[in-house]
Amino acid sequence: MPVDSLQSAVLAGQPLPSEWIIDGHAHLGIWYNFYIPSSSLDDYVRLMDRVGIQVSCVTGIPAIGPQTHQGNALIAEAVARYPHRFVAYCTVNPHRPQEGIDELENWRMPLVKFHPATHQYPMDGPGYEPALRFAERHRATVLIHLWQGESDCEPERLGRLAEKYPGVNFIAGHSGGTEKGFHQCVDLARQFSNIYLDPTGSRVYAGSVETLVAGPGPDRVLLGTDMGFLDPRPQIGRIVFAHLPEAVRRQILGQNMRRLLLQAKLLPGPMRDLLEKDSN
Amino acid sequence: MLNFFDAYCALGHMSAPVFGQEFATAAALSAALSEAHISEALVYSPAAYEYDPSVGNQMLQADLADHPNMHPCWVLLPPATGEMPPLPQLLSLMQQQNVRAVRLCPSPARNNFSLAAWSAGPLLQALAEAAVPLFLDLSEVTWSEVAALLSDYATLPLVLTGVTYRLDRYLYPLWSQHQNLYVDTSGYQGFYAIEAVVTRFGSERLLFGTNMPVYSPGAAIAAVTYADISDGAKSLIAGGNLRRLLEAAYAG
Repeated sequence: MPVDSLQSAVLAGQPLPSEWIIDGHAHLGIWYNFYIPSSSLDDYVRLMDRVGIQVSCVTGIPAIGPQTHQGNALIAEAVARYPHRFVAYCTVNPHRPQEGIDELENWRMPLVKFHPATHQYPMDGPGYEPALRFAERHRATVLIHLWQGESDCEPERLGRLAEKYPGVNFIAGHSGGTEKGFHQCVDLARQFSNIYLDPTGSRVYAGSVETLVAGPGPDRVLLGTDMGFLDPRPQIGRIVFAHLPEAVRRQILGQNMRRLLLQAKLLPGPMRDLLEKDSN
Repeated sequence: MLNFFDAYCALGHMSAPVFGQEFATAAALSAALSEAHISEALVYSPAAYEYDPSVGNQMLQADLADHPNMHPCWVLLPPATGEMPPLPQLLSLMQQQNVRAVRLCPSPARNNFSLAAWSAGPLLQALAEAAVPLFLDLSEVTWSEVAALLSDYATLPLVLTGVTYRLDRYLYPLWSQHQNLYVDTSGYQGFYAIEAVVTRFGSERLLFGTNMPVYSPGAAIAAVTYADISDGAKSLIAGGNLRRLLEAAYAG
């Protein structure tokens, strides 16, 4: 069977030859619930190099749990050590809105992350509003963990946010997780131009990436790998072998996230300089 | 280029295909394998647990007849109800039809039986004596059942499918105690998980699997081609381990 340059690279285990490979949904740290063989920053970068991921947008795993500051500090350290490889999500805990404001103002990170599942709080609840206003002021894209069937993370809640905050771009993390969730997210993304979709997840359903693209179109679907929790390699493979034109797969693999990052007012200079190049 | 042998894919209609994905014909599955650069596949029929095991197995035999690169994995039942031929004949029939791997679907939602010795013991003993690999989906068994199978039938190669990235705290103690435990890679997607298993337990414990048509074959392929392990280890995981297990069936 004929292969294109992306598929050829995957089959050969070589770094992807695309101008932009940007992971919009990754994590850093360790977690109580299962064994993670490595959380070393150098191992992250080594794996990114192996696959060809130039930039990874990361959230601190401790902040997804109870340790907000510790998690965000982990991310700040990663960006400090590798300013051309990592972009920071500031994670907030909606049960402690003032802490969230302090974290956002202290770190001034370019992206914002909500995890309403682990924090057991509805994504459209008042505890998240200070962070949403911050995101609006600073053109910070907000990544939200969505899961159809879990009350706090239901896709319909994202619709309410997208309507209330038209100036904020939202990433529907996991696109709702289930087949039904994917379809709900597709419907929302058709309705709201500020919703982006990422297919990230361990359930690497065949046909799922194609379903997302058929919804709002190819410019609003993003690569996400869940790196740190998951391995990025299967997430890359599902996109590279999706039944989509190569140009569309390249959009998903990095061009779309690059566009979102360049809108972020707080994007650090070194990363902005890198992303503003026509290609690398 | 690695010589991929898919340990885990399905042929035939499904009651509820996810994202509408299913292979209605062997030709469709063959095309998908070819597109993903997978040279061989071990195939089961969903009809065996959504309609009837014997009917599903026979449909599979007929469908695969013209596809020598696709190998049947029958779904079996314990012998007590007599829905399948008695054990000696069943094993002979399997050998005659070159069925070198089987799957059990014991959960209440599927074929609905017990794996305990009073129910499945004779079947499991026969499979263990013939060293026919047994595939079980983790959604259908408990960890206690898995541990008991590994202990009670030490010559039975047990391949778990449907293993996710969150389960190493169960898998590692079992892998450290049992040589007959294997895991398909389709759902086993933890960060650096393949490297960690190869380092701790060697490269013989993982079998490349796609879970087509449910999952993307590209995901499974990238997990192996990009693995930071030796070429020899990649080759074993991509297909060498499964080929070895299938060749060992009935060899004793």
